[in-house]
Amino acid sequence: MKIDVKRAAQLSKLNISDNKAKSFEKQMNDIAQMISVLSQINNDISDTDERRAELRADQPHEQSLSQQQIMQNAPAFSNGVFCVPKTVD
Amino acid sequence: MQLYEMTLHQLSEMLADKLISSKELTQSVLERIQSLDSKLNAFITVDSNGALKQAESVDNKRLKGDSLCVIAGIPIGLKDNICLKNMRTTCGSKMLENYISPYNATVAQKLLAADAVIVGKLNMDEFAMGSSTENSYFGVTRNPYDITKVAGGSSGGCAAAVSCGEVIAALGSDTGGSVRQPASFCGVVGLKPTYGSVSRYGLVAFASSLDQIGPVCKCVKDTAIMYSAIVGGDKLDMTSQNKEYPNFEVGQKDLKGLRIGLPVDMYENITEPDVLERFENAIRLLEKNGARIRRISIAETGYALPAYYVISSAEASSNLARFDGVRYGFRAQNIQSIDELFVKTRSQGFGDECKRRIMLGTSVLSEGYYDEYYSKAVKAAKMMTHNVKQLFESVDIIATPTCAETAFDIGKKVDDPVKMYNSDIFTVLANLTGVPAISVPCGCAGNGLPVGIQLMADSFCEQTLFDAAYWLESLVNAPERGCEDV
Repeated sequence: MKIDVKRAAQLSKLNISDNKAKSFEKQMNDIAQMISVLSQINNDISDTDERRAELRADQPHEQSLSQQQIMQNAPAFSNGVFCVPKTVD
Repeated sequence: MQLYEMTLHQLSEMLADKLISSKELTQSVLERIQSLDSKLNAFITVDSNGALKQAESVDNKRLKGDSLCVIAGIPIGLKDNICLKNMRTTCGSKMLENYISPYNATVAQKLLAADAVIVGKLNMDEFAMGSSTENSYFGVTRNPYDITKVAGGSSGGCAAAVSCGEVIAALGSDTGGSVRQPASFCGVVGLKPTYGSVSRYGLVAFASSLDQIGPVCKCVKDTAIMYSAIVGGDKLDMTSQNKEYPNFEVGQKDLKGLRIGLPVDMYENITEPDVLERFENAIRLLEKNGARIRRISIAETGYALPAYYVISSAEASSNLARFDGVRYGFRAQNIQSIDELFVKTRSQGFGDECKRRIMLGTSVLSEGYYDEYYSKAVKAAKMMTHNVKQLFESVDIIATPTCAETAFDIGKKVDDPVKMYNSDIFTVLANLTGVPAISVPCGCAGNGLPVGIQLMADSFCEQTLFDAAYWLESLVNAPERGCEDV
């Protein structure tokens, strides 16, 4: 696996400067080297049935936050909606 | 002995006997914070007024004769990724520097319902990604044993604060060792509970299938008390397990017949001979006092660290997608378009380690790599879970050192992520397999820094951990906690 930092950043909605990309490239490909051992795992091995937690049906709960509470942490909020830059011309 | 030096259970008895008040105790830790924290940087937010007010309220309840919980009136700290209503929850990040939580995490609610005194929020690696607390936007937390060394991470603030008496106990979070590794570095006890035994509601998510909240305390008995206070199912966390949880205790059972397995093939990862020496000494003491020791081999553990970094980064890339500058948190300025808002906010709001993990996670989930890395990492985790479960049919405990080394120099590994990730070599297995694990101090290395031993048990067998850890603690000369002149 070779990680293309500029491509990975684009997919991740990040901007990495050219200068920073060089050190990231080396570090991330060291990490890629570390995880490459996983490719030795045979895909034909059938999955075990191990689960960390039992699954259950989603159920809505009545507990919720008020609009006032949500608004307090919003960078820009007006007339009951979050404000963002113009998205449609 | 000063109040801040005492254990939770000692202080609880003194409070119950009205030998001290919670206000006196709270003042003692606040003075400790005042005198030490400019050097240690364990706290991000200290709520002196709120803590003193809460302490007075508990004292009044006690004077009235109300029946109070064991932790009532005890000053406790929360890692700064656990939400406490109307207080900042920064996650050690610029992204949430000014975020005020509008609700309580379930564990915070439980502590408040038990009349604990919450002193403030503790430093951490940004979004819990790191093993040294060097990735905090609010600066590194220093080790109370030697301030040129790291406190460990990501719950470094919790471990440093408990170690030197800035709080009596703390709650951290552990995704790959983030409670146990700093506990080991700072000479305190840290528990990663069974996945699903403690609610994650109100814990800012890093890797949801691995995250667990766990206590950091001065001794095993305190850890059992704190765990009893936070354990239990919660309808607000669908992965929490509704079970009958006992009241966890220590000292009820001796070591006779306890079967301890040693995965000796993992010892090659130990980089400091003193760590191995302290660990083997602890094991010898357990054996001498009745434990049955046997060598074991855990198949597929060579995949543990790579699988952990693939799964945790994949989940982190998804969980951190919510930080886009729209609904809460940091927003970049001078923005012309929505895409520019997302990119600039995330680029300016996240630190380097978060960016690395987001990019790694995005890469292993992308077309062409998903089957080769993410699917195989999940398969490896399932295989290890199966193998560990089988092993627990023949042993009660699996013991390893908590870390391959003692606390390292600040700055030593910060530019070499793979070296930093190797700090988690012994701890990630418990997260990948969901089992509980505890780190207990087992003396100091020749350099004067604490060494920790890690004990793992089968899922929901925390009582077995507490039994073994309690005896271990009483047999081993524990390092002296904290330092007068940090």
